[in-house]
Amino acid sequence: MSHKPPTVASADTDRDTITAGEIKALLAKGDTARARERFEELVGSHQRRASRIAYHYLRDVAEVDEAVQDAFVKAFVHLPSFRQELPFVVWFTRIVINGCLDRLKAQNRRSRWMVPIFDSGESDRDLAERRPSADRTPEEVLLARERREHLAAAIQWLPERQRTVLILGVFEGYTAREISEVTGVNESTVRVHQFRAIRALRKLIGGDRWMIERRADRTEASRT
Amino acid sequence: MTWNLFKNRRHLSDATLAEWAMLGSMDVGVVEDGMVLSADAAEHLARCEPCQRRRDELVALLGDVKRVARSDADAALTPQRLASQRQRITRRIAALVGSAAPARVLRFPAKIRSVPRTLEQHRWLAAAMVAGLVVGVFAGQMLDFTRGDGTRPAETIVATMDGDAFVSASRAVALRGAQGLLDDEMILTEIDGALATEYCEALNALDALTPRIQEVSLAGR
Repeated sequence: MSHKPPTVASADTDRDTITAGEIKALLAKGDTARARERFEELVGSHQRRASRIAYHYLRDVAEVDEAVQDAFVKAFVHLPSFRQELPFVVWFTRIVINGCLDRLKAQNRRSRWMVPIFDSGESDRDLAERRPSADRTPEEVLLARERREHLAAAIQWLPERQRTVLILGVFEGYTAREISEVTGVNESTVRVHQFRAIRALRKLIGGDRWMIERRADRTEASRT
Repeated sequence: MTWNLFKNRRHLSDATLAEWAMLGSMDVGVVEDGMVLSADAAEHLARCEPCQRRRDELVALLGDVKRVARSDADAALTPQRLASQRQRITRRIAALVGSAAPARVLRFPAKIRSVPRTLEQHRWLAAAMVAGLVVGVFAGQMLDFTRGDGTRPAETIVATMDGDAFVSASRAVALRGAQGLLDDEMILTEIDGALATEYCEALNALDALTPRIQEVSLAGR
């Protein structure tokens, strides 16, 4: 009995790698208009995933917007140097993550020297959640929000490499091999980081409490 | 054989279970190249209830964390936001390859063009300036002439004043040459008239409190 582990490099991403190769050839021929059209296919298939990854790092939708835009523009500019033996998704994810890490560094630098003028600490979504909802009680909304914030804080607390491994491995379903290709760290080291990240996460979010809340959530859901 | 039995009696480590949990719903017995999972571990897990329970809890925790993280991101990244983001990406790439609609450029003159003047135009300009000067001087003289011997302004002022208390026109004529004195008198009269109004009664108390300049100077001495 032998199963392949779940992977992001599916048939779709293989097709994307071929598309990226074709765009590269078009750019080499100087057919930039056609290359641009074909690149939109890649934008369509990778935008959501890239945005999600960027969101886990940056936690600010405006920053995510800019990071993802920059990543796609950078990918288009550097497509001539893309090597097809690497899946496009892996190559592109590396660009997204590097962009996010650069932005985080810049944020840290800014926060060291500048004081924000006004920061209510609430996003539009938080305000939207305050409205009464027909299908969720205020208690449920509060609980869900608390868990989300708890998880986000725990992720931000993790060291950079563990965070990357957790985001790609647990949230996005990349295999250790793919994470190794994205990060340039060897596979066994990825596994070590993966285990440490899970252990730290369980400690940070308080695994037992988390599970109790989860059970409560489910009970509530089944009751309604 | 003995070693295997001993090994199988030991519970699986957290690292092994975490590896297992990362594989999610995969069947027990998976052995992949370079994976931590071994056939022995799989065998142990198949018959060890505590390890199964630990594994299940870890799988549930990671599944739940994944669900929360994904729903959080999906809620923040609305389809509208993604659509506008996609448009911006398309525009930026279009601008990059130069196939975007050309930007409208406002035209500015490269330099201010000087209109060459002919000699004829220069002459007309000089003549107009001289004519303007002559007309100005003449008009000024005429204005002085209409004023006559200088009595008109005083008469005008007196005519605007009301009441018998004020100097008559004949007296004003007599005061010709003492225009400055008349002006001072008019100002003082106006002040007196203003002080006589009912609105100033209320200010009298304030006025009484205000020190006079003379008092101040005397006190200074």
